[in-house]
Amino acid sequence: MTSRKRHSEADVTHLVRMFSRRFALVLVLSAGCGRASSEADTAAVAAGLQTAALTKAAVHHPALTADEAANRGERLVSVLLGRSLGAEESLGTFRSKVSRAPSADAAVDGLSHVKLHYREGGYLTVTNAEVAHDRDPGTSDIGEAGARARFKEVFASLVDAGLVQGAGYDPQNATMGRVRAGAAPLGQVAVEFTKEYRFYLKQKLGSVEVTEGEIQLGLNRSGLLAMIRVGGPRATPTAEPAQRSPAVSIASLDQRFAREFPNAQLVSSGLKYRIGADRGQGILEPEQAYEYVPHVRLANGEVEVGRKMTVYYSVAAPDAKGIIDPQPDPNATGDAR
Amino acid sequence: MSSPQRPGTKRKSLLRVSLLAPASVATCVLVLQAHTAAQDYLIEESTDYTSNGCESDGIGDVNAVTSSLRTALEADSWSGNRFLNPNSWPHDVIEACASSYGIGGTTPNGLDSTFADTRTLVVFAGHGNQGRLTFGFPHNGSNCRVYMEPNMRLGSMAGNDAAYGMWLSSITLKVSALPDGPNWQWLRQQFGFNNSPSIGANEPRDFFNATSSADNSDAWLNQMDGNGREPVVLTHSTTESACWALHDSARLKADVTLTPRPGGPACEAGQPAFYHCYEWIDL
Repeated sequence: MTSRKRHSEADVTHLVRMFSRRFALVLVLSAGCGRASSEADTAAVAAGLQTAALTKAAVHHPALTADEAANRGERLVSVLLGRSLGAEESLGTFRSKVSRAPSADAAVDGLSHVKLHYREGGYLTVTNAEVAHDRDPGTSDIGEAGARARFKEVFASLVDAGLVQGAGYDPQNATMGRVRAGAAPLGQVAVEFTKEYRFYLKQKLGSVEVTEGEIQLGLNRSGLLAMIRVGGPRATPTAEPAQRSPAVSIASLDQRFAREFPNAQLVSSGLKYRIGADRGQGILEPEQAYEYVPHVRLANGEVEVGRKMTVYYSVAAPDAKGIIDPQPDPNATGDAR
Repeated sequence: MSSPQRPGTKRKSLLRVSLLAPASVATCVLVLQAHTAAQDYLIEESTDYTSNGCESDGIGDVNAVTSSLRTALEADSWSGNRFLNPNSWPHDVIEACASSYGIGGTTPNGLDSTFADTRTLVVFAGHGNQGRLTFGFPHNGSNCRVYMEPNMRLGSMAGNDAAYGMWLSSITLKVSALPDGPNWQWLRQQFGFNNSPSIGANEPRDFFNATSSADNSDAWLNQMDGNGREPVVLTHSTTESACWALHDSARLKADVTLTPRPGGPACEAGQPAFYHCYEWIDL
């Protein structure tokens, strides 16, 4: 494997140490100013409704102004870099784009390798292309345990920067994947290696997962941050208990799903607060969700595999039709021919 | 059915005529052509999989995901076609140079030299499997399934202009099977999934827009990450270092490396030596 960008181990160690020191400084200053520490903030965010009964939730779709989006973007870039923007660095181009359109893509002025993407729904993604493109297999690998520890540090800094809002984000619940890379000549199979660790953290109110607003984070095997994604709609618990019908049990819904989707391969099931991009502000009831992949076995023994779907069943109204997401659109039309 | 008018056809005819013109004129036309011809697309999308005469009937309908992508492409001065459901023909992506690549029916040869392999970006949205695109409708009695290894040769043979493929379908870029299907395409880059993704209506558009500032590979992996998905970016070039260099630099919206991949095989010939390199998210 050939890398276009090589860091010596000493360079990487230095950068990681520098990064850690800066965050340590932030934590000390925060405590010194009488603010809750990042750890306390994180604990408060995580606590959420872990022990509360099943309730309804209010959904908030952030409608950020251009200034708010740019300000959040700047804080996110600072977390990515582990420092504030320098005098020659700014989000001027990004700010200009986001003021003209509901989504924007731009590099940070003065830092062409740092890209910021803003999407409808308040999602912000920042990437450091220099780190993302570092796939030197000689770079020392911080390993899964090291990556998880770094994730928690970065999560605390996101909370501290006000970029994680709403209860129910518990870093202990984060799941992890890996960006794998490989290359090979014609006729050969590539030998892969881990380039990056990816973390995913969904909002969870009590035992109920929220479908949008997932936090994502990419850590190069060196320990340096490659990308962060935050934002999106979020849910807030209400005091009002969720509606439940004694006629509906999870077992009965399991049977209903199996009956209505005989060709489905079940991926996961559980209660969720369903937030759709078009649902606006409102109150959500928890629904029982079944993620599935349609399968059809063909006459020659091969299997046709559909795109993943989710069906949501009401736990309050046994006769309510299941809601499929994304909604199929068999009548869609395009160009004539 | 009448032969469709492709927006790119006229400009490419201009290129061929220009070769007969004096050198200075030809140079001007070539420069113009190098930009305009590189901005065309073909979108094939199936959302209706119910009772259309395909073997896979019963797998279920799916949401449309390319409408806003098309709008974004057009807003960025790309031109092309978006064919859906009965107007989306498997033949459009099948190699045209010989009937040996066909999938049955009364139209034995593919039509890629008129459609997919005349466009810079080829998009398929629907169902599938590893190295396979499954259309919702047959065409002239054909099958609905197009296999990359026996049926498709995008970027080479008859019609060799395609440079990028976006497969919005399940498992089409199964990593363990890349040499068995996707690598038969003489494309610069392919975007797809190792597993079965749920795809939002605007996500392909958001990926394209992100490539104005980010390279294709970062944009695809970041946009299609999450929700249990395993996105894959597959790049091809002559050497390993050239492959990673392209992987880290090609940008659709920023017009970086939109030219076709040179040096592809002739009709029914084997492939010249090349490297593939890829990244994917393994959950």
